[in-house]
Amino acid sequence: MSSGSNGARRIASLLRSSKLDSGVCRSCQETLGRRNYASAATTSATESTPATPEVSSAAPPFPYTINAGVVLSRPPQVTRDLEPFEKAFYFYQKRLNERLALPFTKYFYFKRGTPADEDWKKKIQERRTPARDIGKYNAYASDSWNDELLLGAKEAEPEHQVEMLVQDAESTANATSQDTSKKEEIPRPFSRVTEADKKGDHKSLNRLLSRTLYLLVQSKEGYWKFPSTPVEAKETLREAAERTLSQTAGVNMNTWMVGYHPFGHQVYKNRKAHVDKATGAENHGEKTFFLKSRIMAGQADLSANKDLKDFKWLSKDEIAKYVLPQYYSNIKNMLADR
Amino acid sequence: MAAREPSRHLARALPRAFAPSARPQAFIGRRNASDEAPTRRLSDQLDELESASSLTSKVSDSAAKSFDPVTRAKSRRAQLPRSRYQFRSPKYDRGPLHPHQPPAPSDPSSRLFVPGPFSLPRTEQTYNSTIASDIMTLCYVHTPPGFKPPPKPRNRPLRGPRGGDVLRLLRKPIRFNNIPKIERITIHSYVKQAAQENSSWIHVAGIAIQAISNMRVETFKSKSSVATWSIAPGRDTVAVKAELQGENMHHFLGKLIDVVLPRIKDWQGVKGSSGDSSGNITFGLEPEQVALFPEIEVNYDMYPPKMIPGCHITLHTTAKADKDARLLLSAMGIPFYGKIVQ
Amino acid sequence: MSMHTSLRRTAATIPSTTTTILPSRLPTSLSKATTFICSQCRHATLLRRPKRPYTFTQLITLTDGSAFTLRTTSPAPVYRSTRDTRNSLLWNPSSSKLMNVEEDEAGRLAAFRARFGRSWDASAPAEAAEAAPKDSADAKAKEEAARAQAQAEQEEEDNLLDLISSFGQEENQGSGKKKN
Repeated sequence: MSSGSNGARRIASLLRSSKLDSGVCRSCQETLGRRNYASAATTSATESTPATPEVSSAAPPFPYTINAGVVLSRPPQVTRDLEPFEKAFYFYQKRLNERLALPFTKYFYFKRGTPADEDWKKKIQERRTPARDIGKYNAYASDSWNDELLLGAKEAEPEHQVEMLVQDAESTANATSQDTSKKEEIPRPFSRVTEADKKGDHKSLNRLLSRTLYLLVQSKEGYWKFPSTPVEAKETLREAAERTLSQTAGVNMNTWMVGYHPFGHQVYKNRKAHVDKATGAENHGEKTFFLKSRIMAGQADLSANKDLKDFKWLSKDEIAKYVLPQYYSNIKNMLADR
Repeated sequence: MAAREPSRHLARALPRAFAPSARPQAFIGRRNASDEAPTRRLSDQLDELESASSLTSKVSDSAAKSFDPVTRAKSRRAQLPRSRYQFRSPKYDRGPLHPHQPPAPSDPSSRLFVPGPFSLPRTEQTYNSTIASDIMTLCYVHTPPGFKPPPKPRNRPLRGPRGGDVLRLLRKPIRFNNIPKIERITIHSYVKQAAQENSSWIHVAGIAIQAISNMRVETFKSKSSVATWSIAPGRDTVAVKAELQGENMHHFLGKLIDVVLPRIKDWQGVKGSSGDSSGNITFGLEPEQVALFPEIEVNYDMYPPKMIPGCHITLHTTAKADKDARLLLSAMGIPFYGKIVQ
Repeated sequence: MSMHTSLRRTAATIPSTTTTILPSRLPTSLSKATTFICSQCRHATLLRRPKRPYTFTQLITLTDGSAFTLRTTSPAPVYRSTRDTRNSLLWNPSSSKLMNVEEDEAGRLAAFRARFGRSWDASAPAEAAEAAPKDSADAKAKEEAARAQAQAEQEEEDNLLDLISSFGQEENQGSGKKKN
């Protein structure tokens, strides 16, 4: 993508001013250095070329540990449940449409005298309308104004509508087929609630099909968080994230890392700076940069990892119950609502 | 001096604010609308808007069971005249100064009212929940903190627009408010036999395109002359077009991708060089491929033999470059093949 | 003057369309419609009801069992697809299951199997023959191999028979044969 080189150009222009401080991340600095050497000949060779090495050598060690985190998510598999208002609205619009659309052209779809035609006529007698999912409603009668559902009516429920469609297909198949002994069975759509939902199995990827699920791991101390490890030397953030993923959750997954840039970050500050006695370097805490990743197939496997106790696949509102409030306030804006 | 005083108060008050409170630990930081968004449902928010909503208020069972609007209306001794309860929109628009104005087209009593939407399309939901955020992450351009665009040298006149006679669309960095999305879909079919033979070709084409698109088509006369097909400009109606938006568009797209395209024999995908370099991708379907649509398949016999038209399908996206449009469409499930031209 | 030209332009485009008024354009077309006829026109404009074909809700079931509803002009309540993104190679390039799947769109193979069983299949005995050498470390190896060989030979004959029986229909099944 050209975005990478665009970003690099910006960083290069930033660094050329040699006012670089710890605000620019390591990979940006590296890119900058390379760009700078390349463009040095064309721009001001005297000024910019020596600037970069000086900066990188003179700068004190970065007082935070940089972590690469992975937000591994499973996108929603089914459509969401409709709100009661939406159900009522869509149903009402369908009945309005019954009155306002052109009438159904039966002769174009059913030849006169065929079994399908007879069956169609019989059904129209029953339900008074070509549509199966709006209940019994005649748009052209004198009481067509009575188009609102009564309390407790099931017609607006999507499950009921699908059931009516399937029943209609079944009865048509039975009425038009030659041998009357065999009954046609059309399989119903699968349930939107899976076994994992009923059991409350938080480790299954088949739970909460209409929500985005995120992989959370539990550390030995009992804290829940996204998988993350420190970035090693000479490693880009993306490489570190890929390594993190394979180290924590195993390789038995088909995943896709979305882009090269982090899409959220979290800062943890220690109460007191940890001072390394050997070098005198201070460590104020850790900064975690999260990369987005999608799981296509497979399942997480923590057996190879000894630092982590457990994992779970959780939706956004469940995550709020597991992680620390401080952590959640940092990550909540990068998680999808649905 | 007076201006300094608040800051002294503030300094005294600050440690108190940061002291651990006795209350149960709440989320730290500001209180945002996004804090509670996933746990709250739309129907909860309705309460705030309207205290007595028909969706939430309880009705006693006996009242609900005995309520029958039709019998109640029929049991009335004297019926109201229609004009008392039924508003009929004027049939003619007589200009802005006329006392009898037609209602707005969004009003169900208007003659121009179009009901809908009737469902929440699947492709739209996929786009909103998954594809949009992924595209935004993919197309992010990093700007380091402290970056300022280099200043324009003084006294230099503004540079003229780049490029030649045709000015391309300006591609801005993709942010939360300009993620590419599908804007509309145009199905267009040019039937040359409508000019060469008879008009039945255009009628069949119109019906076929209407069947697959859920829309009444528009017809067009030719603008240019094609001597070999004996088409003169402005004489013959030779083309039909349906322009899909909103719900129709999403349903058509889902049907096209999931059901129709996979059934095409030896189809490689959309050509990588397709596109008008401003984010609109076009591909064509042969007549036998159009016949694979479930709507045409269901009564294939009713179409006169060999008269089902081929068509061009243009996917208009809000992307400003073909690259972004292809990224979006391949995320929606349309494969591309061959040399990808940007 | 500019007013005049714009009016003429709308007058030129509208007759070329049919009576359809697009729902999305309703607000604009309404305002246009008032100035439609000519610059001096003062009479009323007919507000045409938009014409839209009747639409049904249809349940579409894909091959992997996932189902969704959509609005369509077709009166069939349920559409069961035989070929879709879930079992097509172009959408699942890494799926080993689909790499050598036989094409059976007309249901001919299925009908044949319902009548004569699966023993005529090309793939099942071949798998057995492949699996056999793995177990053949024992003394049974030779026996197994010989049986597999016999099976393979028989299978070749069957294929020939198959070819003969489907001689006339080969044009239809041509692509399927090639993949196998």
